Amino acid sequence: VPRVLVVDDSPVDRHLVGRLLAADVPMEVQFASDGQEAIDLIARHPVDLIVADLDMPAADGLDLVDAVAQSKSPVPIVLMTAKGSETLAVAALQRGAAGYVPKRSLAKLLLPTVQRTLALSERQSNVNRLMTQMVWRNEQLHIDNDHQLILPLVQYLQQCVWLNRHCDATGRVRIGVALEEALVNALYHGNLEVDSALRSTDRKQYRDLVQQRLQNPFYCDRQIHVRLTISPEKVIFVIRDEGPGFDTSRIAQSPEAPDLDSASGRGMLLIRAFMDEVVYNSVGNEVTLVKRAEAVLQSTPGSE
Amino acid sequence: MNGPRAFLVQRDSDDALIIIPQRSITSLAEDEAFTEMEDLLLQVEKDGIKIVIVDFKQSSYVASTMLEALRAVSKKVLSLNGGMALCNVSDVAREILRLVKFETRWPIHSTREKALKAMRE
Repeated sequence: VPRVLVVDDSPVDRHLVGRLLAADVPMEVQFASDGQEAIDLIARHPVDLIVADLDMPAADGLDLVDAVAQSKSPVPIVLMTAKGSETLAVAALQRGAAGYVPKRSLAKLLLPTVQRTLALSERQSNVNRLMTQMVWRNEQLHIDNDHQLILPLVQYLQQCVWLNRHCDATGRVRIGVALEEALVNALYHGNLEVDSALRSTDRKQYRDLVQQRLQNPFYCDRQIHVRLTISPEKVIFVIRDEGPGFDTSRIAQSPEAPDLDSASGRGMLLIRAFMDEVVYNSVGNEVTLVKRAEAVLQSTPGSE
Repeated sequence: MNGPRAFLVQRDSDDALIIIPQRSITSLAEDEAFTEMEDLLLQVEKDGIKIVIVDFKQSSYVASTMLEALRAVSKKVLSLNGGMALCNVSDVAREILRLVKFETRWPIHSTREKALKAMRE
């Protein structure tokens, strides 16, 4: 029996929603009167779905969406909206809400929306469970030197790590930061051979050189090679560009943050801060990033 | 420029500019991001901007390209006797600012309204 938490500051609306949900289908319905009470409650008794009023005096629906998205076991949230709050509802969807139902259409739309969301969530939860049973994963990607591919690639790699339960939500962002910096390095400094130090001395020259080399097949036809290995103990990302490499002793000597006024050097600092091991090959055109699995989460992402 | 942008820019008043870094900055070529930054620097100078608030409500983190852009904007507004503050900074973004030693460089406030109020005091 799915467990649904109804969050609304109005006792009348809580009662109405509870009645609508449990009318025709078996459903265990719990109640909370604001976002904070809901957060406390789901920490003690996990639920499968939350139906929440968007507009509440203390910790409203948006706050609840944010809090649940940050938690270790995100739960889908369906928001109930009053007339005129469509813009807020869109913001809530962008921040991770699963859907919304106008309060004036609750009788007609609430139950089908909740059932559809529960079905989707269960399907995703089963996929997530399956992924946690994957012991090894090896993938290789050869991507064009195209900056538009970096963001989707980072998101894909983050998702792989996340599904294998190697990190929590914060760890996922940290891994994304390190990967983004390493891929940007491979693209601009590796394949295009534009030295980041030039940014400090002449920004215009830096920009012009990037632009020039993005048009020059000698540089722009190079690729970035990414290898992902996930084992129960760790995740290994190997990122190689096709440039000539660089003198890696330059970075080994400066593990500290660069001067406040320096225009470069921060990317490498972030990579080192967010990965457990960072190793360059002898040429300097391949970096191996290792992230050891964090304490394995007790729950499958999205399963509770 | 069409397509993704590194920042959304809003005016709060004659002398205050709100910069909202966008998640899509990585999908921009670095040179495009820096061109946007140069435009921003020109606007700060031309309009005599005294207050810049960087609102991180759209980004869960801040990468080095963005850090460099913010450093340049801050430098410009300081040269005009103004100041810059940040708001809606996530835990990871705050951790990044601490790592690169920028945490104390700019005041950090929980909301845009608090940041504007503090900068006007």
